[in-house]
Amino acid sequence: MTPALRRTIHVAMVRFADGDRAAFREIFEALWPVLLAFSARMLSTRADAEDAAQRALLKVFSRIADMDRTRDGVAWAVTIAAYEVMTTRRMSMRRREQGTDGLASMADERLLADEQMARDEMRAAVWATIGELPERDQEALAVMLDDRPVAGSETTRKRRYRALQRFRALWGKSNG
Amino acid sequence: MVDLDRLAVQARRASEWGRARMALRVSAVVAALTLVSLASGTAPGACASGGLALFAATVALRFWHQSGVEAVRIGLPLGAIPLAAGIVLQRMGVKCGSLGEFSQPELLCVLAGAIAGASVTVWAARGPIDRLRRWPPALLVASLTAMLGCLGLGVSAMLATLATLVMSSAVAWIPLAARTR
Repeated sequence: MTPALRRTIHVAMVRFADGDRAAFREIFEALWPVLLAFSARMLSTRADAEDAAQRALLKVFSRIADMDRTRDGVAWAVTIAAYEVMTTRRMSMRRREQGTDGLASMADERLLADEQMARDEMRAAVWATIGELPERDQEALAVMLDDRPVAGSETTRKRRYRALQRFRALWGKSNG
Repeated sequence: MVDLDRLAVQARRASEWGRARMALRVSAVVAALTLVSLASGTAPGACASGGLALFAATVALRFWHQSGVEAVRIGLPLGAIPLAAGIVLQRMGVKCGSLGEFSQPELLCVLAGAIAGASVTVWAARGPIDRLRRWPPALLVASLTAMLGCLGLGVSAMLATLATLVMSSAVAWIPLAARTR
């Protein structure tokens, strides 16, 4: 996404949040591909990605009146999408756990749930920050976070390193 | 495959619900002001109707536009000045005269109305844009809030307060409008 497009979407979001209902179409048409692309990068199946992007879009619109106008609207929408991606992942994990050996893990369930929640919140924050990086960096970091087999070429390694540097800088700026 | 038309309808509906929720958040403040007015004990029916009118106006304005949100933010606290004056007078057992008579209690209401009216203009005119969009709704909210406090004092005090509020606000607007021309 170009900075100009990002700015255009943000301005339209502010206009809509301020009460200009005519800006709806503009936001909808610009934001939907962004959220869908983000969810598709983070989730393995297309159906899950569409579900997460739809939920994120509806949440963005339902909360847009309370949007902080001083912060970037696209980043805010991507943060919501990151939470939806996390929810989708948790749901599919639960579906898997509900199999035969699901009962075995019922001991210390509460403790595990708390730990899981904390871990999920941290991951959501990480994904949200990744969502603000350029697409190439997002792909490089998604491979690392998904525990997928990492290709070992020098170019990929350098790209990952640079992506990680940019992520660290952004993370430091937004989370202290 | 996502049905984008259906999603757009749902998103639009979600945004309007979200806006309505945001608009309704003012109801706690309006309820508190109405309760204060009702607690004075005089004219409960009129106070309840005034509260209802204030609730409808504030929610509608906040739902309409961001200028409405700001107008409510300006109008409620400034309208609370004459409201407080009216409540204090009622607590002291003061009753205003009939229509056309002008006594000391009316003078206090007029003073409070004048301060509130001029302040509404000054606050609404802050910021480079949307002044004209903010000013009339802010004045309406301030007037309705002020009315809540003066209802128990009688028609004379209420009319005096409202008239002063509107007039002082209009007078304060003249130099501001001239400056921006």
